[in-house]
Amino acid sequence: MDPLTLIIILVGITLGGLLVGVGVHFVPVGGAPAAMAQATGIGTGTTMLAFSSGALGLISAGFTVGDIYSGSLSQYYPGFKAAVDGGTILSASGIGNNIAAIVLIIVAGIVGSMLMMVILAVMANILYAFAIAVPLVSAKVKFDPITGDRQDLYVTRGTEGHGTPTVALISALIGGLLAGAGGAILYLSLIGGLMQYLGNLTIATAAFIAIGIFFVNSVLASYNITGTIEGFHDPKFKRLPRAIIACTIASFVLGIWAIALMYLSGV
Amino acid sequence: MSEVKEIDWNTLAIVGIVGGLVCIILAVLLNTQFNVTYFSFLGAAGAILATVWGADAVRKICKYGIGTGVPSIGMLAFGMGLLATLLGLKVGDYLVAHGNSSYFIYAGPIIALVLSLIQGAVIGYIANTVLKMKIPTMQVGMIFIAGSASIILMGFTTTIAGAFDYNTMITWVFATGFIAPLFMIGALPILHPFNACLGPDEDQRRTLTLAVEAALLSTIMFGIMSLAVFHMPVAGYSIWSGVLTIALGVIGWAYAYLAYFKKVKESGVVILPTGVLPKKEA
Repeated sequence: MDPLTLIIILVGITLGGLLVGVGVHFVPVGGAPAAMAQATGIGTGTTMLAFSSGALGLISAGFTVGDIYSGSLSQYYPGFKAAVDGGTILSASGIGNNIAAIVLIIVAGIVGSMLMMVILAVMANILYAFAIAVPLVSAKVKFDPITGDRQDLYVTRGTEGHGTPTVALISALIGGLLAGAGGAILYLSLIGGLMQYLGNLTIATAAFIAIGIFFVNSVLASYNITGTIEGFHDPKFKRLPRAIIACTIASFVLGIWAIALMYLSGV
Repeated sequence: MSEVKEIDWNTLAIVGIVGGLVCIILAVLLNTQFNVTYFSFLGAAGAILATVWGADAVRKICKYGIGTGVPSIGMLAFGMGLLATLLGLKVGDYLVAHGNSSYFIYAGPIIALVLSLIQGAVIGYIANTVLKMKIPTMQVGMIFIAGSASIILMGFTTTIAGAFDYNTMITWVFATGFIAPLFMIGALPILHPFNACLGPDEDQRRTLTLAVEAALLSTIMFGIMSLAVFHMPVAGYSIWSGVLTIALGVIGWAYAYLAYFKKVKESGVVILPTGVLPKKEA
């Protein structure tokens, strides 16, 4: 393969992994206490939360790739199939010619991921409000930075907030946006690099390599926040620079394995 | 409680690396020599040895409390191991395709393991220095779990498809979608034992017995999956190889389950039911 294409793929994987790692910091993760309505956030661990949003982002990005490749959208993006089959989609000229298709795939990933985030947060909120009967409040700030509502009066003593209040929900959407874009970039990089060697077998392979990279970055990010965070208003959010360094290095190393795999497939 | 000396994790690493690789390579070597698939169950044996190694490493890391729950570390292990394993197997494939002896295919798992160990070292270094987790066992532990994930992936691939080369893995494990359960129930035996047994009374032998039990349960599942692959009209493929894996898995599982149950009973204590406190002092 063309060395420049390989470098673009390496940059794509590093950027994708980095976006996933940063996205995790925005997602309100409550862990087990949140599942019992004793902490603010969505009631499960970071890994599963990041994975669920990332997986839905990957699925919607994958569907869009399929649609542009050989489905109903193929007539509007005529050069895409040839570029993916020939492995030139991620060369400098390939990106220029197919920029509309690439943007559409990334947007599809973002939509899927944000949709999953909002479903996870709002459906759980309905249960918190109407089944457990707790107000949706954050314990980390006195006033909600977005709505300005008073928070501290409504926090039950002995707990750290309940449900997903407005600011955390907005934060979750930003997290979904970043993680979805990251997942779609990862998937596209791997599809673009492997399709010419593996044909139809690429789809599952690229999806699972992307999920592997996704897991590494989401777990490293969740180690950084020690398991729970409320969103961008949480004091733990200040640890973000560490995660940026960590996820960049980790994704870069994984990216090197990936381009080595593509290079060896080609020679 | 009897005070039994804990097995050193370096000893378990040697068992996992040497035992795991020997079992996997022997399975494929015997399969190709005799042109059959009956020896595929040896792949699962290798995966079980690697599981014991990985479960002990998870135990050593998570003892310090990582704040995110034990399951995250199993997912991290497989995330790290997957790409490095694929690359290592591809290198083995490449050596054979470029005019070397066909025995170079057996170099694939060794290279895959080495690459996984390097990947684990990088992630462990990041976790301890950049993320400042400051867990003394993190560096070596990460190397160990990445390596064990790599051997588990290759071992169960051998169980499912009868070989571990790159093309077999892509065709029969990735494209069939079996990679999804392989990712999850392959990771489960290394993360579940400590997750289930943690606490002040945690005992290494009991935890590792549970690891063997969980790995045998996974073996049964991969045996069932191998039925889908082994009924293909390929020379030497026989559906009875899958049945053999399932049968050995069930027998082994029943034995491991009883052994684990015995361990649980050993460490249990007798509870004397006293009834509810009386309403009034007599």
